[in-house]
Amino acid sequence: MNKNFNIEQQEAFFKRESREIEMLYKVLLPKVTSFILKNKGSLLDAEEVFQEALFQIIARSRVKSIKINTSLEAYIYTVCRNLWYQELNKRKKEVRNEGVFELKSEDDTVYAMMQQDRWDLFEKMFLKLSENCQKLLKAYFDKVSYDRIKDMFKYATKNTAFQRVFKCKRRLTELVQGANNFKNL
Amino acid sequence: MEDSINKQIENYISNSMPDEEQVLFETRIANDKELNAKVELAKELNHFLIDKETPLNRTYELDQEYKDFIQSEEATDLKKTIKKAHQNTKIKQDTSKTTNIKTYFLAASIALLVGFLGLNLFKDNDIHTLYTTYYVSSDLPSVIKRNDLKNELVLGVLAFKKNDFQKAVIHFEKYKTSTTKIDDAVYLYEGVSYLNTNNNQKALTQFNLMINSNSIDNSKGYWFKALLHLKNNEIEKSKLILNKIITEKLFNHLKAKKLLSELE
Repeated sequence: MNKNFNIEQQEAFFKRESREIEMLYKVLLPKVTSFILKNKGSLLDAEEVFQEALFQIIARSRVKSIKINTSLEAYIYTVCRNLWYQELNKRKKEVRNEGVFELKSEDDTVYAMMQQDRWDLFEKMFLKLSENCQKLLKAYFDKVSYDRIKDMFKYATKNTAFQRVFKCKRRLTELVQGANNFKNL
Repeated sequence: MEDSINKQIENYISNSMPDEEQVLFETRIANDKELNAKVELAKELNHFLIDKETPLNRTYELDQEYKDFIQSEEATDLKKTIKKAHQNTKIKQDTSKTTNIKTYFLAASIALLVGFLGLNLFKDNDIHTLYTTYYVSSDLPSVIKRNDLKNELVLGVLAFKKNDFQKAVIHFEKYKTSTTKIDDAVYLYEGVSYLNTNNNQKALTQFNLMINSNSIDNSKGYWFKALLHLKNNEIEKSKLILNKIITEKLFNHLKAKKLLSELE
C-alpha cells in the first residue's frame, strides 16, 4: 500500500468513509502509539489521542475549510502530537488520573480545535518565509548557538546572526498578523 | 520605533531583560492591550518554532461554530464512525493473529528444544540487571482516582507503591470480591505483587487473567509474563513470549525486541 493517501483517499477520509479511517488506524496508529509511549503515555492514551485527532480534523473541515500543507498522515501525526503535549501540560498542573486521556470535555475539544487552527496558520506563514529564514529560525530554536549560526550561514559576526534571526522572526510575525483569518482565531 | 518595541518584546520573552526594566515593561503590558497582544503572539510563535512545545495555553472566547458542531448529531455520528472503524481494525488484526499462531508455535517448539539442549549462559546477576532494567512501574496502568481513596483497588495500589506487597494483595483480593465490574488493572498489580514476594505461580495466574480479560490493555499480561520468566531465570520461556509480543506487535513490542536481542 502507498504510504501517503492520494487525493481521492483524502477526500474519502473527510467524507468519513470507514475504509479510509480504518486504513489510517492500521498505518498511523502504531507510529502515534510509539511516540506517546516514549513520552510518558500508555497504549490507551494513544488510542484516545488518535481518535480525538481524527474527530477534530474532520470536525474542523466540516465547519471551516482546512488546508493541509503536508501529507494527510503527517498532518494527523502533528495533531496527535500537539494534543498529547497539551495533555502532558495539563497533567503537570493537576493531580489527576494519569491513565485516562482527559482532553474530552466539549470546551476542551473546541479549545484544542482552535489551537490547531492557530498552529496551522503559523505553519502556513512559516512556509511563506524564505528558505534561508526557515533554516535560520529552525537552527536558532534548535538551540544552535549564535557562534555556530554565524559559521553555518557565513555571517560576519555573531551580532549579524542575532539581527538576522530577529528579522526573520519579525517577518513571520508580520505574515501572521497580516493573514486574513488571524483576527478570527 | 516598531523595531525597538519588537526588540524589547524579544528580550522580555527570552528572559534577557534586566530586572528593573522587566518590572517596568510588565507594567506597560498590563496597561496596554495592544502591547499585551503582541507579547502573547511572540510567545506563541516561539512555542510554535520550538519543536516539542505545545501551543501556549491561552484564554480564548470559544468558537461558537465549533461548539455548535460538537453538540450536533453529525458530531455524534462522526464519533461512532471513527470508533467503529477502530473496532473493525482490531477485529481484522485478531483474525490475522490466528494464522500467525501456527507459525509462532512451530518456531516456539524449535526454540524450546534448543533451550533444553543448550546451556544457560546467563549468570544470576546479569538476569537481575536485565529484569530491573526492563521492569518499569510506569508500564502498569494508573488507577488512582480523585476522591476515591477508600476504594480497595486504590488502597492496594497505594500499598504497592510503598512496596508493601503483602498488604497490597490483601486489598486486591478484597477488591475483587467487592465488585462485579472488576478493573482489569488489578490483575497486573496483584501479579507483580506476587512476583515481588516470589509467589510465581500466583503471579502467573494473575497475568493469565489479564491476558484473557476484555481489557484494551490485556496484552500487557504477556509483557509481565515475559518478565516473570526472566526474573526466574527461565530464559527460553521468556524468549518465547517476547517473540510473540514482537510478532504480534503487542504492548512493549519495541522493548521486547531489545530485550530479546540481549538474551540471544
